[in-house]
Amino acid sequence: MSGTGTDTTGRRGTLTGLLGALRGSTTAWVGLALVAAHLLVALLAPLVAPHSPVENDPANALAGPGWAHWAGTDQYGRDVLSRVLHGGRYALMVSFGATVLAVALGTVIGCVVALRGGWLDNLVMRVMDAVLSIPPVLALLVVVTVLGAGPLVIVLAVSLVYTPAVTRVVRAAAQGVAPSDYVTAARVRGERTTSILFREVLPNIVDVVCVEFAMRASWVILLISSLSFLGFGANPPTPDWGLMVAENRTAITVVPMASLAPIIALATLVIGLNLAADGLSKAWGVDRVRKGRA
Amino acid sequence: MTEREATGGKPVVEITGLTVSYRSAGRDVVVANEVDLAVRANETVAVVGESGSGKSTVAGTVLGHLRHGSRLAGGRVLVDGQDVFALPPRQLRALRGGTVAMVAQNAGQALTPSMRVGRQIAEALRGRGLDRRALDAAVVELLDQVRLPNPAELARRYPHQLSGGQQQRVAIAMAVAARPRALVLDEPTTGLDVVTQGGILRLLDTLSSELGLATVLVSHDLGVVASMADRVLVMRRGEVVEEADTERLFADPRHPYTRTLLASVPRITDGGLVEVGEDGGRTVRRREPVADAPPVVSLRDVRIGYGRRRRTRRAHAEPRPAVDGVSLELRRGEVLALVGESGSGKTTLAWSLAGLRPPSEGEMRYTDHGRSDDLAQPAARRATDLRRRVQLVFQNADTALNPRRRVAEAVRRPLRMFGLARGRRELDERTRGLVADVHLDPALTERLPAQLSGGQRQRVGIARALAGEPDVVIADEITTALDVSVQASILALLDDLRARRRLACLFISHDLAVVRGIADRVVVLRHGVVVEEGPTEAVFAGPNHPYTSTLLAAALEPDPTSARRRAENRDAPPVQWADDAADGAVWEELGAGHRIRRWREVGKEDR
Repeated sequence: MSGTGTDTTGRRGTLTGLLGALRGSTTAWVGLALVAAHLLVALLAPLVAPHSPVENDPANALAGPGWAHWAGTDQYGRDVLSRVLHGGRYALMVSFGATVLAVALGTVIGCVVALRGGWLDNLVMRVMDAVLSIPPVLALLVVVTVLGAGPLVIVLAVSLVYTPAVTRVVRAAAQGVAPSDYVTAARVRGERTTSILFREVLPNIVDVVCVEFAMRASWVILLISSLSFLGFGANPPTPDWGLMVAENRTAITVVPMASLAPIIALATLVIGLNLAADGLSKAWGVDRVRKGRA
Repeated sequence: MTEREATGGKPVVEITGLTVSYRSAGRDVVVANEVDLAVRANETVAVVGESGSGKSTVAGTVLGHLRHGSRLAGGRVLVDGQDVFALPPRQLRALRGGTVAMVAQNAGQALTPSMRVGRQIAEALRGRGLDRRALDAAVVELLDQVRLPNPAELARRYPHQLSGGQQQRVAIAMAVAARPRALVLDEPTTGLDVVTQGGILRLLDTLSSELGLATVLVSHDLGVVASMADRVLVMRRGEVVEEADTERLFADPRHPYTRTLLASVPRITDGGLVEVGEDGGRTVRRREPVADAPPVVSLRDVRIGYGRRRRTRRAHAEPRPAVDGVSLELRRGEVLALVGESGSGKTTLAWSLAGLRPPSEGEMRYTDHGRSDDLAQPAARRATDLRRRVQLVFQNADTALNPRRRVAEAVRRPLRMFGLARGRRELDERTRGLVADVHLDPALTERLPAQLSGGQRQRVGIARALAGEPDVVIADEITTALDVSVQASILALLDDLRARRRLACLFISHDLAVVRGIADRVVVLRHGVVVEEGPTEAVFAGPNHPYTSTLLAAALEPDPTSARRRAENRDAPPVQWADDAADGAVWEELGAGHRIRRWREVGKEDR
C-alpha cells in the first residue's frame, strides 16, 4: 500500500482502450454513434437519396414537406432531403483531410520541441503563437482569395491554421513524458530523436492525440462550413450544408426546412464529435482543459 | 517515546474486526481482514508491513476514509467513542478536522501549491472562531511549535519555497492545529533523507507527548518504528500476523514472517550483505576483497553547474555548482558508494557520468586496456562503444520502463541498438539469457511493466542496463523504493553480477546500512564537495568527518534499545565545524586510502 502507486490497468492498446472507453461511457458511445451515422450516410448518399441533389424542378420550387419531397424543395425545386444527405460529403472529406494533416503535423512538431527544448522550443512556439493570434476565418479568406477555393488549397490552409493549437496541446502532453526515466534511458543509450519520439513518447500520448483529433475535427467542420456559407468553399450547385444555408436563408420564412435541415445535420455532426472527444477524454483520463487547450 | 507510560483508560482509537474489501473481476478481494487495533492517549502504535499488506487502508479507516471502490465488509472503527462509518457526513467532517488528523507521506503533494502556507494552516483553524489577528498569531505559534525558524516570515511563503523537511513540518502544524486527540502518520518520513528524518521524528515524538495524542504510525521502515512506537502490529496480505510491545517484538519476534522481515533489514553493523534463511536466520555474506585493479573511471576536479551559464545582470550572483570539484576513481570490480543528503549532488554526478549533463569544468575519463575516452561528452556525442560501456539503473523502477513496451522489448532494444545480437533467434536467445541472469521468471517477458511488482521491474531495469555488456554500472538509489525483503534480493543480485562480470559499480544511496553491506569503498558528498572517502570498514570504524558522523548518528537501527540510547544522546549538540581545506592541504590522510577533508571545530560565535 505504501510507496509508489502502481497502475494496474495492464496492457491497453489503442483499440482495446477505445472499446473499454465505449463500454464505460455513454457520452463517448452516443458521440461515436452520431459520427458513424454521418459517415455512413455520406458514403451511401447516392444509394439512399430519393432524388438527384442537383436536378432542378421549377414547377415544384419552394414546396413544403410532403410525400414526394419529405423535407420540401428549395427555390430551384431541388429536393432538400437529397441535398442534405449528399451535403456532408464535401465537408467530411475536406475536414478529414485537414484534421489528419493538422494533427499529424502538430503531433510531430509538438513532440520534437518538447524533447529538444531550449532555443528550438522557444523559436517554434513563438512562431506558433503568431499564427494562433490570426483569426482563422480571416486567414482562410485571404488564402482562398489568392489561391482559389480548390479542395486541396482549403485542406492545406485549414491544417496550417489549426496546427499551432494541436502543437500546444501535444507539446504539453509530451513534456509530461519527456522527463520520465525511460526517456532518459533512451537518451543515455544514444537513441536519435525520431526513435525516442516514435518508440518512447508517442505510444504514451496516443490518447491525447486521439481526443485532440476528435475535438479538432468538429472545429474544422464548422470552419469549412462557414467558408462554404461565405461562398468560398463548395461551388454551386454542389450540395453542401454551409452553401445550402446561404442559398436558402432568404426564403427561410417560406420554406424553413431548406435552411433548418442542413443546420440540423451540421449540428448533430459537431455535437457527435464533441461528445466523442469529451467521452474519450474522460474515459482515458485526458484533461483537455489542463493540457492547455488553445 | 519509549520512556513514556501509556495512560490507562479507554482507548481513543478502537478498531474491532475491521474487514475491508473491494470487488475486482466479479469477486471480492479482501484488503484488510479482521483487524483489531486499540490506541490510548499518549501511546503510539505502529502498523508495519510491506506494500500490499493493507496497512495504509487500516490507517485510512481511522479517518473514515476508504479508497475508491473499497467497502467496509465488517467490523467498526471507534474514534473517541464515535463510530466513524456510522456518522453523517457533517459530523464526519467535524471528526476529521477536530478529533483525528493525518500527516500524509508526501507533504509536497499534501499542501496546495498555490496557497501561502500560513493561509493553509489558518484554514485548519477555521472552526475556532478567531478574528484575523488572533488567527495570524495562532498560525505563527503553530509554526513555532513545529520548530520552524522565523515563523512569521515563513507563513507568507508558498510550499515550493520550502524544503521537503519544512513542508512536512507545515503539514504537521496543520494536523495538530485543531488540537486533535488522535493522529495518523502515514509514512511520515519516507522520501526524506536521514538527517531530516531524524528531526521530523523527534518533533513528532515531542508533539505527541505534549498534546497527549493517540498516534497510529504506518511505516515500512522498521528503524522508524523501533524509535517511535510503543506497540507494533505486523500486517501481511491484510492480516495481522503479530502484535506485541516494541521491545518484545524486536527482541523476540514470534511469527516466522516477522522474523524474516526483521532479518531482512540491513544493519549498519553488518560487515557484508545479509542472506536471510527460510526460518529468518541471518547469515552475513563475506565481502570478497577487490584486487587492486586499475581505475576504469577517473574524475578530476569535476564541477557541474545548474543548466547553462546565463548572463545575469549581477555577474557575481553565480550559483554554487551542484558538484564542486570532485575527484575520484572507480576501479574494475568494485562497488563505490556515493553517500550524502538530498541536494548533495550525488544524482547530478551520476547523470553527468551517464552523459546527460556534461560537466562545466574538470576531467572525466574512461580508461580500459590502453584505451581512454572522454566522459565529459554528452551521450549523443559519445561513440556507440563507449555508451554501451557506461550504463545507468534508475531509482524508480515504476517510471524507468516505458509503460507501453513489453519487458522483452525493453531488454531487446539495447541489444539491437548496440549491435550485440543479430537476427531474431540470436536476439531472443540473448534476451532470455539476460532475463535469466537477473533471476526473472521467463514467463514474465511478454508482460507490460504495470503487470509486474516493484522488485520485478527493478530486475528488468538491471537486465536492460546489462544488455549493453557494460563495464560501469551507475546505480542511483536503486533499492530506495523497494520493500526490505525485495531490497535484500536486489542487492544480492547486484553483488553476484558485479563479481561475475567484474563490473565497476557506482552505488548511490542515502541508506548507510545498505552501503555498509554492499560497498567496498565509500565517498561522502556534502554540498557537492567530497568530505571523506575510504574503504567501507575504515569509514564505518571512524574517525570521521563531523558530517559523516552526523549521517551515521541519524541512521536508524531496527532496535529499540539503540533508539533509546540515541534519544538520551540527542541533546548533546553536534560538533560545530568549518571547512579548513587550503590549497595543498586539503586532506588529512588516515592510511589505507581513508582520508578526510580538513576541518576545524569552531565555537558558536565564530559562525
